[in-house]
Amino acid sequence: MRSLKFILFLALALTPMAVNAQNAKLHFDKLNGLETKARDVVEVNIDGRLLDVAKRVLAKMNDQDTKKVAQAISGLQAIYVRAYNFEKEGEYNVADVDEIRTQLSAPGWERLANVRSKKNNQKVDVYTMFEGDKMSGVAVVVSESKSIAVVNVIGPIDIDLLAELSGKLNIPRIDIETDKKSKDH
Amino acid sequence: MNEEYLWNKTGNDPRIEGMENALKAFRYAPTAPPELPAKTFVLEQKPRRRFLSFGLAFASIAAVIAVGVWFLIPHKNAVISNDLVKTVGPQPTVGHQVDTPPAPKVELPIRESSPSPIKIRHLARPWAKSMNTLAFKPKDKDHPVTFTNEEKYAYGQLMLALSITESKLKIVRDTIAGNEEMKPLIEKQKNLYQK
Repeated sequence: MRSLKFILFLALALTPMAVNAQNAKLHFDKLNGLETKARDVVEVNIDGRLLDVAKRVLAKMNDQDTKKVAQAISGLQAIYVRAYNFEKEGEYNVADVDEIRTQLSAPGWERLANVRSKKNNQKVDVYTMFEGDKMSGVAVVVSESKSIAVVNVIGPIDIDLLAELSGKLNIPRIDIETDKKSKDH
Repeated sequence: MNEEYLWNKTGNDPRIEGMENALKAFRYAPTAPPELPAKTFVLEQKPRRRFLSFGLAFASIAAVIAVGVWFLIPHKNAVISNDLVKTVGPQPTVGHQVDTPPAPKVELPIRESSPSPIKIRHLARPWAKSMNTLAFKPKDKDHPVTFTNEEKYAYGQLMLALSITESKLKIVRDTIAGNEEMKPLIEKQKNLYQK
């Protein structure tokens, strides 16, 4: 009976945290239709078991950069990416991207950066969500005349450390080698 | 009571005789036997086919076992239940009578993880193209670290997601670098995060 009470207490105590973490997740339903229109599509969903496996790989590697990446994402719960590149201007509906921005106007999200440029009709928004003094989500929405990119990070992530690792993430310094062609680029 | 009359019918006993006379109506009298009903049925006895019954029962049991074994043994053209590997065989042709050599079977791997973890189509950027040819290379030759395909895949996807995230944040950073007005806001958020 005592343990049952404890479990009940634990469940009640953790529920708000779970709800808040869930709130940081964006819905990409409106963007699904762009897959057929776009020339290039990148869709990445990393959460649950896949993320655990990736973290396990980082833990196995004995490399300074990898350790930094592992440190930067230690509390990460999920990361979702949608990126679309189009052949011509006006191939996507601006309202679809604005719908994502509307989701970010919900309570809890704070706009960290807002960049507007007439060049390529560029609009960049960076939002963060905090749970007390702890980051629980990041969202980046980038729209240009021929491209859209939305990144949704759930859980804390060290953006500064990520910036420090700029250019080192995808290629050789984290024990990854690519074929000669891509090295030439 | 005269015992001799009672058991041997010798002498006389008026009391027993009186009782005999009283029960005279129920005395045994031989009569003709009762007649059988007009219609009679004669059942022909068929020889029992025990061997046939046993044979049928045995065949039924054998058939059930055979079907069970058939489903238990994995077959080449069947889809494995855990959906890890799907095997596709040659498709039957209609109205094509020429004997052609069978087409080679192709095995298509199906990913086990959550629905659609990644979709990449005609990636434009070189770093994205290179993700298809990623390979792990252990740095320490004395203690090489080995990874499963799933681990390589998960790691590749995480790096791709982080790369895109970082590249998009870089756009903001570069813009802010040339915009003094936004710096205090960023510093404020940074301080909040560091607390």
